[in-house]
Amino acid sequence: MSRATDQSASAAAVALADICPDPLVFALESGLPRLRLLDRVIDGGSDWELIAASIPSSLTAVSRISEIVGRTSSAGRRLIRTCYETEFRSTRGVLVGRARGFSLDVEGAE
Amino acid sequence: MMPDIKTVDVGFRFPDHGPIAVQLEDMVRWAAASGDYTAFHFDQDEAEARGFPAPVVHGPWKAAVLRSLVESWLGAVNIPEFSVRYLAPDFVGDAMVFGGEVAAIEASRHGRRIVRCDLWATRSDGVKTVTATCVATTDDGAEAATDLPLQRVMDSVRLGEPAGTFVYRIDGNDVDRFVDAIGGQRRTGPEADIAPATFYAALDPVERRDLDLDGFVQNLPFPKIGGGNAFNEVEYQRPLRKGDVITVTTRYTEVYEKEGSTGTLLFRVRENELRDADGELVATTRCGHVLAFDMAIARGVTS
Repeated sequence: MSRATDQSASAAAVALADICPDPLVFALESGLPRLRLLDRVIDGGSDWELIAASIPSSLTAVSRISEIVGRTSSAGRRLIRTCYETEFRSTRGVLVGRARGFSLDVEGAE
Repeated sequence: MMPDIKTVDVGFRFPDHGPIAVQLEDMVRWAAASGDYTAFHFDQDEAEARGFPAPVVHGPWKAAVLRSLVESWLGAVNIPEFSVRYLAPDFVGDAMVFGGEVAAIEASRHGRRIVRCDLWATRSDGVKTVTATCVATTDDGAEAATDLPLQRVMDSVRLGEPAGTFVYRIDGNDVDRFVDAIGGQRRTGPEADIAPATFYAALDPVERRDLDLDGFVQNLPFPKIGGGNAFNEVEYQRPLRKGDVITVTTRYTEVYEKEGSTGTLLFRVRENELRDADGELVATTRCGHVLAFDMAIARGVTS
């Protein structure tokens, strides 16, 4: 899923987290489904990685589900971590940064 | 006096921020800012229906507070990397404390100071609910947006450290085929088992695809306009012979950039140390590889 963003604030003063404050919600707003695989779904974390040192005034954001990993917790519960990743590129297609939001499905947490 | 990013030391513990009680209004404002209108973040009944005693604080709101604190603690900084994990819920009305410390300090080739921080938040029962790591750099313009990230390239090739050790047995056929391939004449007589001097290059783990540390540079977000081997050198103690078992240790020794007529050139120089089965040094080879980038196009990032 891709979107174009346009920001009028000073490029130098803008951080990726200002454009994308919640990477999980940002990716879901692009139309990706929120997977619900076990009993409870919670937010697991967020990453922001700025590759260029400043952000251009126009960006294209492309979101995808980049990873789904299952494991068992120390208490024996099944966990599934889904990574929603958005890449931000300049109008020339140069990668500017990435944001990742992690959704955790937890077994038996209700 | 509070140190800033240019003076702070490893282990410095930032002053705690808090305790602060998160208000419902904070969550409503955050919902509007982030687009996360999940009701249990601001609706008491919805939170209770989900088994929580009170509305649950948005995780990214906590991340935003920590990021803001890094900026207030360290002064003018860039934050190219910020990673946060939400370990347990915090609740509206509960008192939270945010803290952090300096975990490591590095210097980039361009003179930037790189400060790695560990961050956290705790709730009133003492449970750590958030952990985060952050990379902050001086915001002095020393390394422009379109500079090649030389420090990260150095890290990617483990500059100065052994990058890999490989063992090769030189069979007679290997030498003969090599001589045929370069249009040479196979040796006869007492020197029949001696490989030509150019055969040292055949024992380069990178060229043989046994060692590949190219992933980072090949994915740099700059347009590549060329590249290839820049030079090969060999200094040998004795010739290679058929039947030798040679241990090759590869080490990257230099990473640097130059401005060329076609663009910015990134050089990586690696050194192979060749030792025989007795551990005796046979030869040392040096190989330079160059990649050319068009930084004028890359500067479109900031246009």
